[in-house]
Amino acid sequence: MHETMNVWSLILDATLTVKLVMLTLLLASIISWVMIIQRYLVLNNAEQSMWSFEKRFWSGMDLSQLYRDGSNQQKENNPTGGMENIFRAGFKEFMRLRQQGGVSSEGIMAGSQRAMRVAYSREEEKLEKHLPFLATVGSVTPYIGLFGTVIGIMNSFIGLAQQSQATLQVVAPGIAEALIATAMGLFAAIPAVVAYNRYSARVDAIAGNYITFTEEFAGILHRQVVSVSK
Amino acid sequence: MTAFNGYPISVLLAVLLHGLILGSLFMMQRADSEVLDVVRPPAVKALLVEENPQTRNQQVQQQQLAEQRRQEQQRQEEARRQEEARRQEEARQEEARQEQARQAQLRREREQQEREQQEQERLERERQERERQERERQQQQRLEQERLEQQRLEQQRQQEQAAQEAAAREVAETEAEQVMAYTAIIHDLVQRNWSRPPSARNNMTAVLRIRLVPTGEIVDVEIVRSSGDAAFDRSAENAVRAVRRFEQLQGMPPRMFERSFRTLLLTFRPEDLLN
Repeated sequence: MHETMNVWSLILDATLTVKLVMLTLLLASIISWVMIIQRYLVLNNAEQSMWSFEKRFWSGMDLSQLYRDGSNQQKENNPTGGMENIFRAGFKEFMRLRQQGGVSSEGIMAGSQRAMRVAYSREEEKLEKHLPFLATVGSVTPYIGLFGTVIGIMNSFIGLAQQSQATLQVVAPGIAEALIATAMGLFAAIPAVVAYNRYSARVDAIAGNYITFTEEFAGILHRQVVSVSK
Repeated sequence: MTAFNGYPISVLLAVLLHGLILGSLFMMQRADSEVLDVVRPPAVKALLVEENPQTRNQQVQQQQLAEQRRQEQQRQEEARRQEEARRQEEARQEEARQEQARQAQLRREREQQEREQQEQERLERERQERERQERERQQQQRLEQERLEQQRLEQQRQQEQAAQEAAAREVAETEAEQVMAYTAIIHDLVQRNWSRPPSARNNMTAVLRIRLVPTGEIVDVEIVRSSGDAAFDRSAENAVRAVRRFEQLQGMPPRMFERSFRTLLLTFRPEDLLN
């Protein structure tokens, strides 16, 4: 292939603009990989805690007991999962309104449902954090790489214009150097795009589970309110 | 209530991943450049063999045909070589004849000079001495200029050459010098129009024969000896055709033209264009 030139010499011999572009791309790639790994861990964690909480919730356990368990867990500085947070917000509001007295059953239901909606949107926000960054990296880095390539090829052609005899040896290093920028852009973009699509789907699935759970829990609370008021 | 976040570990992993990729790239390059010098994998050509008798017959016929063609080519090659040898012999004889003629002329000149007075002879000698020095100086200058030529701009070069040609024509008085001057002009023109193909290698030579008419126009170009590279031959031929006409040859005495410039052999080499 090439006897004397390798990728490293090409990178080191590049012009300042191209070097800056490459540096930007390297940083973007590193940061996007940080996000990818961090989101992976966060989503895995959320899914796991969701399954375990659902299991406990449908095991026929007393709801106030479940609530107390969560409180104890938080006291031990061990944060509760997303679905449990929704449950806790709704249950807390439900108990508070019921103990207050003088609130109609519709009022109690509306209050606890509002609390659960707030908790749900907070959880969803937590899950979707950093995903827009991945989307940005995925769509912008190819352009940045292309920019570096265009600048590099421009430079090599300017150099070519000053030569009387144009040979391939004159142009080739410049173009190869410029193409490295595109390669790096794609290298940063491809994982980011794949991760973004994958994680969006997973966030959607988790958020869908949360909504379903919210509705089911509201149904249980409603049953309780109706049975008590009768 | 702090939610789970894996920032430290993910930063670590991401940096590690990039370091690993860059490192492996580096190692691969190293290994590549070391191995490339020593091991060169043999080229393996895969052939699709058809077991069809008809196609096999065709193949056999084709092979025979190819063999015949090859023999034919060899014969032609042989004939061309002989022709070439003959031509070279002719050229040598021609040269010898030219040399004789020049010597005869010189002898005549000498006789004439003897008849003339001593004074004139001395002046003549002085003049010749001056001329020779001038010539030598010109020669050196020309060599120097040729060496610098490639680095200069095209326009500058053209102007200088025009001046040089004019000067050369004024100075060159004997026929041999004139022939040399005209040859130099032809070389310069052809070389200026010659763009060497990328496939040109230093040891290639192509010999072209060109036929001229007294107006300087090229009437025929023919490849006498091929360099073995078609692109190179074509480029040489194109260079000659691109000149189309050597306008400087118009003022040449017809006798000299007939003797030296009716047909001309040009040898093309990538590093230089030689006669």
